[in-house]
Amino acid sequence: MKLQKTTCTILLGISLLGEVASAGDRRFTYVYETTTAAKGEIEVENFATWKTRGEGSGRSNEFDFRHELEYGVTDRLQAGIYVADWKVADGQAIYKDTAFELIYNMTNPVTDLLGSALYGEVKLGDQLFKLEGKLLLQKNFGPIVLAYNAGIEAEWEGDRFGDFNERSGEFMESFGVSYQFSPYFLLGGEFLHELGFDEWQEAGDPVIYAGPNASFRFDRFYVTTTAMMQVTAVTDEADFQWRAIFGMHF
Amino acid sequence: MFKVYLTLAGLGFLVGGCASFREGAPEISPAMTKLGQASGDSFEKLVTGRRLLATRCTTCHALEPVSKYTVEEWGGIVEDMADRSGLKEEEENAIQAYLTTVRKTL
Repeated sequence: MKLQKTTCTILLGISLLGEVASAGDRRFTYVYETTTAAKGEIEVENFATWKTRGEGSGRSNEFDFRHELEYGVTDRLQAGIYVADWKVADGQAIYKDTAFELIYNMTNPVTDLLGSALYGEVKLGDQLFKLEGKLLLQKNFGPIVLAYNAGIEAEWEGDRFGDFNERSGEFMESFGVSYQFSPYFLLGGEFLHELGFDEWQEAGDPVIYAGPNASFRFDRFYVTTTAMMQVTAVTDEADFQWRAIFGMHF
Repeated sequence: MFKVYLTLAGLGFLVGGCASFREGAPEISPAMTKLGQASGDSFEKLVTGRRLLATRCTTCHALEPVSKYTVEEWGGIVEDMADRSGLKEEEENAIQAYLTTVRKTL
């Protein structure tokens, strides 16, 4: 589905202007932390991801965007909606999907021995339907924060809505480490391991990404960004990906 | 050898993390309780303040040692951060009460 340029502009404008107070400035862009928004709190986060692939399987660039609205249902349960996942390809903005997520915080990474949370996501687009579940773990050692995610997803795809004749699965795990040099600057790294299963049977080649991560906090906004190189040699996956998350406080 | 380094790093993180938490959110002692009550802050309020400090503030950043700032400085810091993190008034008051009480006993 191709969106009109004006629609995209409006969508982006709303997401940028509508950003409200966020209790949790993200330390990572690929790894989820176990902490959730406080009860009644609303957060808006904007993601931008650039993925590029080299000559081996044809050079390509993809720009993905996500606008996520999060709400603290209770102090432990957070609901979120990806208002829109869309990408820019060949100069066209293309809508991909909309998703709904729930994160339930079980233990705190500071006051408990280990922070933990459960993550569930349902994603629906005109060409796909996806279910995802993850276990999130985290421990804060003063200025050092370690976080680990492991999860599985099941995906159904097709040429049009309702005709999802392809199915696949994926096991993913990610790990992040972040060091707070000052409350305004954090530096670390992220690692991502993905293993796909076509038709939920045969495992594909494992793909591993690793790269540095930085988070900059200002008075009223923050930017967290990660650049990841593929350290394996899977040609039909991106060689390099860069992601940034923007947040502002009013 | 790698396992030894890993174990040492783990222990280092654990000790460092515990020390950081102790300095950033010390346990409420009887002296603190007495001082808080004299200022009209109940034990429950101090407990709530400590819990909020340890859970809400650390969502974004590590805790600073309470001794690092004066009571007046903490007042300004908490006021700024409460606005930024969306703390409710009673939550801000509880954190202020806890930090003020702890700082006065140091």
